[in-house]
Amino acid sequence: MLRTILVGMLIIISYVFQTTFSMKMSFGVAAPNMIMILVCSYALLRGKKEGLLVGFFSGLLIDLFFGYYEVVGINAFLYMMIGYVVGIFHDIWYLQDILIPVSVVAVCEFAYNFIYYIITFLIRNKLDVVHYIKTIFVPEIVYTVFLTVFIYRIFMFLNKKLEEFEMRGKEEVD
Amino acid sequence: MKKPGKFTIPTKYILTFLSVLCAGFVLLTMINSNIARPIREAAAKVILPVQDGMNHLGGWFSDKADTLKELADLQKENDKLKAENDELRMQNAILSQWEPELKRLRELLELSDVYSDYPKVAARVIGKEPGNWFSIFTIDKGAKDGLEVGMNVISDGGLVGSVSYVGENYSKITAIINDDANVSAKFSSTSDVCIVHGDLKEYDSKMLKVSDISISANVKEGDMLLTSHISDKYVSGILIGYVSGIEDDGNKLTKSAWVTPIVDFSNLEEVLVITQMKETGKE
Repeated sequence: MLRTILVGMLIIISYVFQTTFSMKMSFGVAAPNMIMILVCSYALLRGKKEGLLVGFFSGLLIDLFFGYYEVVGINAFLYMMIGYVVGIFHDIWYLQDILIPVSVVAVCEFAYNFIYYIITFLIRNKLDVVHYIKTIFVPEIVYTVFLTVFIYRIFMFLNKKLEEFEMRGKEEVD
Repeated sequence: MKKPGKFTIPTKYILTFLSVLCAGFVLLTMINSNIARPIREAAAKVILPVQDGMNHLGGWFSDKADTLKELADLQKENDKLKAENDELRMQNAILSQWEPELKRLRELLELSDVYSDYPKVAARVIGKEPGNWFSIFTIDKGAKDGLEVGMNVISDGGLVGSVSYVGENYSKITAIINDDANVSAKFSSTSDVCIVHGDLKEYDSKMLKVSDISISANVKEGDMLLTSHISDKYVSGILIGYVSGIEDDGNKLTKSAWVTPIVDFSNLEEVLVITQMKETGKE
């Protein structure tokens, strides 16, 4: 229960951070993608089921406010798939290594942006994908990866504390 | 990790169910985007207060950062503004001589003051589209304050864009630099009509592309671009920007140009929404 509330708050905070600070921090063209960091980190730490749920609700939030032509569901689906696929690796990898979340976020950022480019730009005959990779993909990935290094550690710490708390709660019940 | 004795739904069922839900949402909202309205309003009730708090925090931080940065630039800017001020004062003196004459001629022609004083509502920009693909902003005024879809938005004396969605307490504005935005414009000097296109690629150099200028139009760099009188979306006479480059299209019919917008889109904080809609004659 506590976890659900906390995760809900994290989703809202990430979303608000991203929408607010992406206009305040104008030191570059691109803004980092906090929601991607949240979804990837959470899926890595907790597995595919929770990963896909967090992805779905984060994406839904984006869709509700900034859906492409008010269409709801595209971001929800994309982030859900990211949460699910990343969550598969939860059981496989050793998660203390910071390189893992960093590379996962980088790959997911690229995949997400590429699909979003196809849905919103390529369809309108904007073909210069190389240009967009240079000006949108790369700066966004660099910023996001940079932030991941710090934020992932925070999430890992939170998760550890929560797991301890849940264990304690269970012992009391037993 | 399965807890014994507790029923859990398998992940693949959740995935399938939510995927179908997404597809359903996409289809429904494609047909009619108003279907999502109740959910959107409910979400806004939670998000907007948080966003408001965050905005104050962000504003405080960027103020602190700005004071440090700006001190160095202020002197330079002050000098520049002084020079500009002198120039403007002189221009103003000349123009104000013409004002009585203009007024008299207008009265003679029974033309109303077309450009002056549209009714406006001030609003604060509270968020931007989370990705880097579009230039869509949210502002803190909505249907409650009398906003409607299609109203024009200005800032710093220049055109920002138009309202594209109105919620109860917030609205979305689509900027003129948004990829796929088009504005019908005219040159202030010659009244030649053209189209200003928002394009993500062009905007990397902080410029907008202008097309469909007649080859015979006598326009040059530095000319002012205003919203045109034939636009069915924008009220006429709002400044868009200054022309900074003209090019022949090579088809002996049209020219293209680039325009640098007046508004600094990376630093939008307060905007004015013009609450008067363009009268287009259709209901």
